[in-house]
Amino acid sequence: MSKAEPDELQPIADIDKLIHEPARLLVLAHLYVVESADFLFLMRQTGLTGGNLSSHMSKLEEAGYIAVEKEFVGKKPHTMLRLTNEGRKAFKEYVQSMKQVFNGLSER
Amino acid sequence: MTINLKEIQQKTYRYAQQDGFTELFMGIFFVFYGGICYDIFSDFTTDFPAIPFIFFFAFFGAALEVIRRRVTYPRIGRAKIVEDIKPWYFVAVILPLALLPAIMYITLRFFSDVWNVTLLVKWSPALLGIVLVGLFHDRADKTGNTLYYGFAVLSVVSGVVVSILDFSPVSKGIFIFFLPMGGVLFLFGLGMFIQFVRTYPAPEEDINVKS
Repeated sequence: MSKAEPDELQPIADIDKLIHEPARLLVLAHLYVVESADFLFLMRQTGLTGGNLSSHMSKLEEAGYIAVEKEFVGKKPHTMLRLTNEGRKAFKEYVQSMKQVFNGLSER
Repeated sequence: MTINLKEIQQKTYRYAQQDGFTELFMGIFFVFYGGICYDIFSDFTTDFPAIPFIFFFAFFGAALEVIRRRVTYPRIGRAKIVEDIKPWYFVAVILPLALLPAIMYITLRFFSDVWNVTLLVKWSPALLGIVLVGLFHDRADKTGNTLYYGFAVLSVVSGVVVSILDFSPVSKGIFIFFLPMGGVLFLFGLGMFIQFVRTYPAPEEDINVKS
């Protein structure tokens, strides 16, 4: 069996590991299709628990992929999340990487 | 787990709009719009109240947001959906709906001696029925709910039927077309709202606090 050339493995190595985690991928996919969303909305849409979502949000915010914005609705503070330009770009690159990984894969 | 962005977008839109308020307001808009057209096509001889319509149209967006803040967002959260008006939608739906009353007014005022305006008025329900297909297709595409194609079929069929029938005055046909269309949409929206409050009976405690 021939060894895979390093160039052939590059797309796999290029996958963004932060996005590649299923829960974070789900969060980013849902934020990708909206301008912004609040915590409750994301929780319901992704099916993640509050604690789980909060933990993933922190990692994504640290990486600069999402922005957390506080606004006031009436007198109550309200938190909205949105994908940053960097996050949007990273997500698109992730999608491209995944397509490249499976491109040309033959059916068995 | 599958990631299909189109499906996620449709699911998100459906989820955010499940309160039925958009359909409710569309229903009210249709009734008012039909009445305004009836009044214009009758050369302003009917008693249809145009002023409330102007207020409704002007403040509809703000009113919807106020209602959603109190009723919808505390229950299901809030998302700012990307609302992009596609060029075909602007040309095929918004422009005809916006321009038809103006065109009819100008035609009635200045060209009624030259053109057979009665024929235009009589067949305007059929024409608008076809225009509304674009509106319902857009809704079906955004939500992924094919029921809106049923509304599209209804709008074409009822538009043609109303145009074939005779009314006195002829202009009454446009109101007869929009009244049941608006009524059906209103009831559809009401049904969605009832289902919504049964599914989410009480607002969530405010959990929009980042830990």
